[in-house]
Amino acid sequence: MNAIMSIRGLSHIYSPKTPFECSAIDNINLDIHAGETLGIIGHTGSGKSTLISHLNGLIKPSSGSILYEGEDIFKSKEFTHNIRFKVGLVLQYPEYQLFEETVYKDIAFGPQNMGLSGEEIKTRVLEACDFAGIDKTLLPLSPFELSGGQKRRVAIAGVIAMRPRVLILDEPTAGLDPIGRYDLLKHIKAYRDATGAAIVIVSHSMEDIAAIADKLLVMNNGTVYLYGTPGEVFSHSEKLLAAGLDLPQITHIFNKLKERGINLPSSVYTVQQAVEILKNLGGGTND
Amino acid sequence: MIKDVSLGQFFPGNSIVHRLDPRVKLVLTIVFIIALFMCRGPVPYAIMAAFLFTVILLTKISFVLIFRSIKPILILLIFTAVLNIFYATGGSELLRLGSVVITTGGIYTAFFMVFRIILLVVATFVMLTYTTSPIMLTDGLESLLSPLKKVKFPVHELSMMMSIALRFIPTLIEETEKIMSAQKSRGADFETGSIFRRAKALIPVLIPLFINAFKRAEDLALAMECRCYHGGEGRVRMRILKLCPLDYISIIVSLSVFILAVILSQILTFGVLI
Ligand SMILES: Nc1ncnc2c1ncn2[C@@H]1O[C@H](COP(=O)(O)OP(=O)(O)OP(=O)(O)O)[C@@H](O)[C@H]1O
Ligand SMILES: [Mg+2]
Repeated sequence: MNAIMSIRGLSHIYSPKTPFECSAIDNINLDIHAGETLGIIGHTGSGKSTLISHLNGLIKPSSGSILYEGEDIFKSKEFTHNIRFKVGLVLQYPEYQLFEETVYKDIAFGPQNMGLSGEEIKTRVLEACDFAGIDKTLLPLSPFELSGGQKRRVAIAGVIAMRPRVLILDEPTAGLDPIGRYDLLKHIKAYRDATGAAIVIVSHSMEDIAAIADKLLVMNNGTVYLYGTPGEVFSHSEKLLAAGLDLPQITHIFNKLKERGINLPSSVYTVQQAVEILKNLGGGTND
Repeated sequence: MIKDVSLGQFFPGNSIVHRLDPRVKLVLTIVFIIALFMCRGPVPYAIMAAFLFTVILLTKISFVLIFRSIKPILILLIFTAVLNIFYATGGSELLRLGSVVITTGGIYTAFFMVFRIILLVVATFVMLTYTTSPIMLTDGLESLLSPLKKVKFPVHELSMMMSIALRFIPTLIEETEKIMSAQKSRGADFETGSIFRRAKALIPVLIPLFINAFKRAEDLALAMECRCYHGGEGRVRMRILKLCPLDYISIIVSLSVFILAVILSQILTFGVLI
């Protein structure tokens, strides 16, 4: 399978040649495939945000390159500008970027910058509302009247409205209630399934990541620490704990059970899997 | 990025210059500037430059950074140089282009004007902003201005406003960058187009920035009230500024150098006049 985005030997140093010099990421190699959800986890300051800000050309690498469908995204200014419509980036706490008079206009900001026609913009805004789970009655309101969670959705819709081929979200569920988180993840999944886009999602919640990701990238001190399917990654529990990370609750429980000598597979990371396994183990019924 | 501008930034450190009392640094910087304007001729300037050079060495701040700090005023320097070359007169004629005359006197004045501005800017950076944390700076200022309290001048309020403003400048810059990144991610373009278009492109940045700033000001006022802040009356300080031997030594050494430079320029100009 051909990667939609490839990252080759990417390093970034902040404020080089000053006393504040800080190497944020170091020699990252990574492929992102269409239709796939990549989860990125790592402790605070491990360079997750720095990594994803490169993907739509917001910051330039100190060394290394980023390819979109085989072409360097920094090829020309024009190209970098257009990449932003194909690689949609939702930054951490995106609700602080809202500025328009109405929710509708704010979501329309991206499509407008693409130079689309009024009709097309309308289609996109309505479609983005569905994908982000925004009630249409909110459209004429001022974004500043909304609750925090609603603002978050509007900000995400503002990026989805550009119909990006790669949708990147930096901690989209931070600060949301459990139902809100679940619902948001469901909508992101729906966007991927409907458009075949690639999703990159950064999160501190192992449950969220386990629920949505097909591939997992674990970062530690600016480097790739582990990479693989969630099953592979979560089976390295000691390594994850050593990097200051946690496991999904259910994996903890299964590890404890195994310690007590019960024979169970080592890569259980969602409650559904757990239910299946326990059912097959026999004894007791599930209802 | 905006953050990389080293203009007026504090570089934490533990050098002699960093440890000096902020009041001493404030006063010495002002005296340095006054002395600089009283200097005439190459020798006094050389003395002042040597003094500054020593201070830079003492701070352990790299010269690359010092040079970088001059960059933003490069246009001002070029402007000064050009103006002086064309308008200052004296000395012998070097070149005549129509009505424009370039004289040795003009070049001489231009050189010293530029040199003086560089010394002035670098001195304020090295002796004050690079080596004094904003909090220390406002504390020093408050202490220096405190005699004005007698004439009902709101010294404490002023310095509190200053420290709050200084405290939030980095926050605002960081936030501006974040909002710009967010809008760029939605295809906003701040770099191309006419000035008018670029100004318009800033609206999506300024609106959230102001809204957040007002909200933060409200939060801060509330937080201060919760901690019973009610102005300067009866407030005691955590850091009490006190002069130590190092401060006295630097005052004596620096003042001697400045006085030497000023006296020398008086004598030398006098000599030239005779
Ligand atoms: N604008 C900046 N200037 C200088 N250093 C920075 C900047 N942004 C981040 N850093 C540094 O780069 C490193 C990586 O930061 P980054 O924001 O990428 O971490 P993160 O993994 O996203 O953390 P978090 O989980 O807290 O969001 C940190 O050590 C941070 O101090
Ligand atoms: Mg981050």
